[in-house]
Amino acid sequence: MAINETVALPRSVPGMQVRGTLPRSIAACTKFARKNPLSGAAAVFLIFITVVALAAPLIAPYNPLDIAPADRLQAPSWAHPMGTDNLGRDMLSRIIYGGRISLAVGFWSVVLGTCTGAVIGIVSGYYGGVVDIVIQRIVDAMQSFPGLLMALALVSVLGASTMNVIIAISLVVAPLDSRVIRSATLQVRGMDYIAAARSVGVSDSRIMFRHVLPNVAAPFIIIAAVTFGGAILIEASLSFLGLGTPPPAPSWGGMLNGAGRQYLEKMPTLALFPGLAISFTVLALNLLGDGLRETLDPRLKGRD
Amino acid sequence: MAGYLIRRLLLSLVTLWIVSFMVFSLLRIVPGDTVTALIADTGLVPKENIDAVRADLGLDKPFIQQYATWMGNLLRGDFGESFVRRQSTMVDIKEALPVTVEIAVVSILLSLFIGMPLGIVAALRRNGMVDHFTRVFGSLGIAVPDFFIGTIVIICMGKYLHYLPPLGFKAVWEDPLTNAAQMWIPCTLIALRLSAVTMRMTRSVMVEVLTQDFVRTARAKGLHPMVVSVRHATRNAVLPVITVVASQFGALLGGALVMETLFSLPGLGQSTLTSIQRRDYAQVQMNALFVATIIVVLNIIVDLAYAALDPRVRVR
Repeated sequence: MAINETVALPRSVPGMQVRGTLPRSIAACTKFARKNPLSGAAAVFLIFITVVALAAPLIAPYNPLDIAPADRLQAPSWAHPMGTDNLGRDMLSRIIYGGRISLAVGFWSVVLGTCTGAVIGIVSGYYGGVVDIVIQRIVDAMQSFPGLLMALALVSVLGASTMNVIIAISLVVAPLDSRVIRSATLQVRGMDYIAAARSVGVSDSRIMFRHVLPNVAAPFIIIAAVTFGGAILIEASLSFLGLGTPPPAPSWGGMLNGAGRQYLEKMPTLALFPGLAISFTVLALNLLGDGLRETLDPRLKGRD
Repeated sequence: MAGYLIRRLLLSLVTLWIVSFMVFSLLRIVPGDTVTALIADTGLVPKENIDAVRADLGLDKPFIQQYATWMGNLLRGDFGESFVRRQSTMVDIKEALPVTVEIAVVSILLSLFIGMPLGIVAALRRNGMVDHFTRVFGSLGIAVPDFFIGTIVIICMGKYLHYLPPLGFKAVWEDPLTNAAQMWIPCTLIALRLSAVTMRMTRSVMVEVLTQDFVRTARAKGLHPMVVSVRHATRNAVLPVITVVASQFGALLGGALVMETLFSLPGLGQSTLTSIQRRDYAQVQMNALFVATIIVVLNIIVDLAYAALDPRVRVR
């Protein structure tokens, strides 16, 4: 089958062996961190908070839900490094456990939202024509609501819970992300290797997932990082408005809202620590996204 | 051009129709009954009257018939009655709109004044002081949540400066001074956040434009650097920025929910939030459709602006 061999050819070209072995990826990471020190630092920070969030039960000094009226509204001290809230709950423990909620929401929103968006974008961009027009109308319609309002309406319909917040955020980000992947697909679609694959009779679904998908991986990784941060912000905003993760679960956004808000003037650290936690996490994700953009976007190469 | 415009308008109508259907069905797939929730939440109606209320609001009819009635009324200019306030849903929107429009216009203008010049200077003097500043500010502006900044500002103002914006909203034409005192903090905060995006966008587009041949040509024929950057580069960089600003404007018209909540401003975001909490779905669906219409119209205007400013788009 000479025809099939031509399709398989690029894989056997010298110097194009399958990448991804461990030493190679470590080398790639070091190179990335050296070229983008800020993004490297951001990545280290993100790994750190992920580990802390995963190991929360081992690290957190107190149970984040334990109420201790006698210790309420304490300033930061050795016993309570970030102080206590109006119910005497340890703020450090709540921040540590809150990271679990934020990171879970970000992660699952990317898995559900960005991945759905990517599939929609590839299908829409690859087929074009009527399929594209119909899908783009629906995407247009979903984008005609401000994201936060749409998430708010969805959560109020579905009921406030972390799971429903993830579903709502995924529905908000999927159309946005699908746009990015669609335009990347449009660029890939015109390439010779797609025409070659099509001319030897490769099926559409195989072309989309074996030929288009790897070639839109760069924008996908970039928007995944940005979506991750955006999802954390939306979850925090929803919790702040009282429609996100329901109390008493320690959500970073929720800590700035509700019963606590009237105590903020007395004890500003109650707002400071959760706010800083959100800000640093989202900042790190955006810096990582910037670094990835500079590394992966070929149009930006050769500048600076 | 006319053909393009007609096609664009027709597609927008389709989009709006999809929006109306999505909103309508979303609010009616709710597990549990709207009316029971309405009664439980507001306590306005005795339990015996549930069926009567349901019939009164038209909620006893089949889904498609409800939708057809709503659509038919809309097309005849009847925007429906709020479930809770029992008056036209437009009353609520009309009350909230001036607040929302004021916030949106002031914040957008302010953000343009901050973001565009900084972005342009950052692109012209890359790796200079302004560039580094815009990078830090640009990243922070996107990452720091608005409710956090807003909360901190309110705490600091109250605690250390003993200044609090006056309560009880006053429209510009009623009491311009009180209005300004209420508006300047939230608008500045929104503008700072928006300008971070505008600035990043302006910078990256400018950087791209500055590498293009016509800029080199303009420089080569000895034009003053200022003329090149203003007349050649900036003009070409404006278009993508317009898109970003228009989408920011659209989002703001949907209501600056968080800032309205923090500073007790009765805008569209508050109206929608309250209606959602009261399960006043007639109001929610009208607010959503209203905002969607504005955003769709804005998108058309942006496309037309593109065609007007960039001859290459017209050829397509």
